[in-house]
Amino acid sequence: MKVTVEFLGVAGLAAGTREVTLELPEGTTFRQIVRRLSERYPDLVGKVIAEDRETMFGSNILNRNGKTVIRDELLDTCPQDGDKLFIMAILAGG
Amino acid sequence: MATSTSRYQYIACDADKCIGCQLCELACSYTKTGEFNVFRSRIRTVRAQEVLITAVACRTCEDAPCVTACPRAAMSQDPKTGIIRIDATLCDGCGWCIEACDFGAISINPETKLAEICDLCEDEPDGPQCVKWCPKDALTLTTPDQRSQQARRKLAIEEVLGPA
Amino acid sequence: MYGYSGRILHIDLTERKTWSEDKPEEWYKLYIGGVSMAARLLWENIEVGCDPLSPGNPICIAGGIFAGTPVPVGGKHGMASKSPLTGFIGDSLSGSWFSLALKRARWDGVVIHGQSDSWVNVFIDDDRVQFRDATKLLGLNTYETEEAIRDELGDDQVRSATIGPAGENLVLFANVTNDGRQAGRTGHGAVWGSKKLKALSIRGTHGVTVADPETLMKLSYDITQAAQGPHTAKYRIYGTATSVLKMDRMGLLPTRNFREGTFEHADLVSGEYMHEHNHVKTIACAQCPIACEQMCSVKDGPYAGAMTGIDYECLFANGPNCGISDIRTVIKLVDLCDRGGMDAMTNGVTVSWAMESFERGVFTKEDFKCKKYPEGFEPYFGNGEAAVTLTEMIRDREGIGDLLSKGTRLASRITDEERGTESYKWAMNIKGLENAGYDARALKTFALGLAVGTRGGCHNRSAAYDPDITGETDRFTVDETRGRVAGRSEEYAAVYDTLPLCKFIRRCFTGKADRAGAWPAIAKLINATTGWDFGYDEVDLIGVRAHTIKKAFNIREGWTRADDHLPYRWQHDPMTKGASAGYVVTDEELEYMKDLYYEYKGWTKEGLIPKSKLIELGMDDVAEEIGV
Repeated sequence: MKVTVEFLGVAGLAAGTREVTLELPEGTTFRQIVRRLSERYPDLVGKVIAEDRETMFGSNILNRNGKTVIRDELLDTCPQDGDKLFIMAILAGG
Repeated sequence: MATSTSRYQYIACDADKCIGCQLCELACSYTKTGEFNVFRSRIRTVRAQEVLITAVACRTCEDAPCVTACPRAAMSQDPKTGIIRIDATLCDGCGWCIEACDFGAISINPETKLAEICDLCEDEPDGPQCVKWCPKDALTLTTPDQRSQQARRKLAIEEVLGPA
Repeated sequence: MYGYSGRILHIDLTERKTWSEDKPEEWYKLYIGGVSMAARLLWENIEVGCDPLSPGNPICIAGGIFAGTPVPVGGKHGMASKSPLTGFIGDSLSGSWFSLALKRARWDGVVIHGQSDSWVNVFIDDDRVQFRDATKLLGLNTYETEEAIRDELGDDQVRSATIGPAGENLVLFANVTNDGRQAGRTGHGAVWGSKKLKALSIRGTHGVTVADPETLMKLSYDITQAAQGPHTAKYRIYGTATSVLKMDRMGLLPTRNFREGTFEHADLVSGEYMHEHNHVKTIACAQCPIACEQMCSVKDGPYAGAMTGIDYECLFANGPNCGISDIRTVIKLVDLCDRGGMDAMTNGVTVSWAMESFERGVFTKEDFKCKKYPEGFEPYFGNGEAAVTLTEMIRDREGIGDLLSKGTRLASRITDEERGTESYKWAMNIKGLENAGYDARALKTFALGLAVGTRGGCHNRSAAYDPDITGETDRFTVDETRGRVAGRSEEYAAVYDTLPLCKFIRRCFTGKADRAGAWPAIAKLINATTGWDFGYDEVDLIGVRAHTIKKAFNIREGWTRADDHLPYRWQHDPMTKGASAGYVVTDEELEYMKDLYYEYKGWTKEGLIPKSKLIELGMDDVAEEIGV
């Protein structure tokens, strides 16, 4: 299956790219995706992805299709083909 | 434009990095007086225009004009470090040193009305406290020589790699 | 007493006299500073039921515990007056050198009463107060006014809070500016204008001492260092404008007057785009080591030369929400608001209301005649020059700008009465204050937080979008937890607004922003400053009291349960595009959540506060007046 990941804000800077499309075997979990992103973009670790390389760091979230936040308890579920994932830091104010 | 001819160390501010937070002034006044008061800081931030911000402290000029200007011989310069010292028992707050300083680095204590100036925190084991506190590393303890070396290095990188 | 002088300065503009009021330490322990102290001063000094633009409505300013010390982001002040937009509490916060000067002048707060005969600049010079003629400052914009005062007084260390032309003209959402920062919302500028107060200047020369300076220095230094780490990178690099794309992707970016939550040109008005094309310099508020304000300029085109700090809220309101995709126009709009001295958020949302009203035929080209365009113009969505002209007309109250200067609630009410229209259905305000840049149709917890908010459509007082966006709650549905979540979120925010500390530091104490992560660290800062013995519970109560005094104020001014409402659009018109399409907040959902919220707060079903609850908080005198 194909999953697109968009890195927004500081995550884009750390990754050095705005978007990547991943070709993944069926049954790949979000946890595995985060792991894969940590390997491919090591600068994300400690800034966007936590040191455990499986969960998100600080106020960063992994969002699926703009609708569902993949919180830690959902990391072992799987995306669907064509999903769009967003990695971003939540912030407020201004 | 005022320039320093010093071979001595002084505190320089990179205006591109300075955000104008004034933490340097708070750290300085606490170190020197035990109170937080920008009027007692030996380093001063300046916001000349909306986006023109920097900080200024003593430039430790060679043959410092402030020392020459002082009519009461209250000021002296350490020949090794270039640090200007003010003898509070001799200073009468006349302000001639302030007139002589092109950098505006000398200030008057609002209570005693005597002159005060940066001494690079020579008594502090970890050096100038403003440099230590500056959150953006805009402040550095440096010499004119080091400044020009840095400028050359920056230029070299930019000429080869283009602007950052 | 450390951290405070124990003195409040009262200034009567009618009589041109001043007096000092002593407050006991116990009073400070209850109300602390910032918005809480300002609101409490308002509670004590207002003529209940007065017209907000009458002499009976005082301007109350409160400093903070940490102002003038190196505690990061502790240099802010709170301002309170009865809001001419909402008729309820108007409380604002501003990052400022102004509050540092106030602290050094040894005043904990200032209350400005009455109304001057002629335009005045009040100058607080330590213990002395001068009433200076401000006639020659009239018409100057906010930046110019501050500079002119500094030149006149010949001292860079004089800090001023000023109003611009919008405040002079009584634009109801005019604000108060200091050092390029604003006490931005709820229309304080109009209250200043009604008093003919052009500026309040302060020079404070005294040193600030604290109970345990060594500990405070160490704590502050560590936080300063942590503030350079990954938790604040988003603020330091892009500023809050980085939210544009995130909100767009979640379908929550208000677009074309909150019709939709996604903007097809979001990339062109994003923080990332601006960073690359318009960024000039990053600057900080006083004693802030983060520095989130991204100064941006327009380099070419008709608005070349415009420059100001652009953050998310001003950007959404004047950009996507007006259908404008040219960032240069957005910068110009915010620049006009900042220099004119008016709330750029309300401005954008009011202009977008006018645009929708035009597109729906409520207004025609004829209605938009002005000096610049004698034949009128057509303010359809996306017409940047129209938005710029409207903003100038609002500032000057020229033509239809006079109607729009009243904000969307009054403007729609007047229009609907005169023309038999229903433009209230797209007037995007709560309690009269225009909404912030989060579409709450699909942020159900936040919808509650906004509806019950004491100052209206504000993202700063309720932080309940946070659980919705982080997935702690299901943002599309409602359940029995929401009353508590919204209530706790509001009390959490109130702690920061009261000390005050900027909320952007919240992850820099321990890495965790929750109460367990932040309160013990904040207690240490309070104790090192004041010598008090605050713990987790005392810090938590700061927020509860802050919120309670504001709520009590509203109750005394006639608040009822019906005032906790949402804009018509959020209850009736679902969005059609993006990740949040298809949702509204129904009456049943809203009323159910309000019940839950009042229950969590320990209030009655009608949202009134029992006497016992107020006494429990140490607010006995408030209990006597409004407790049930």
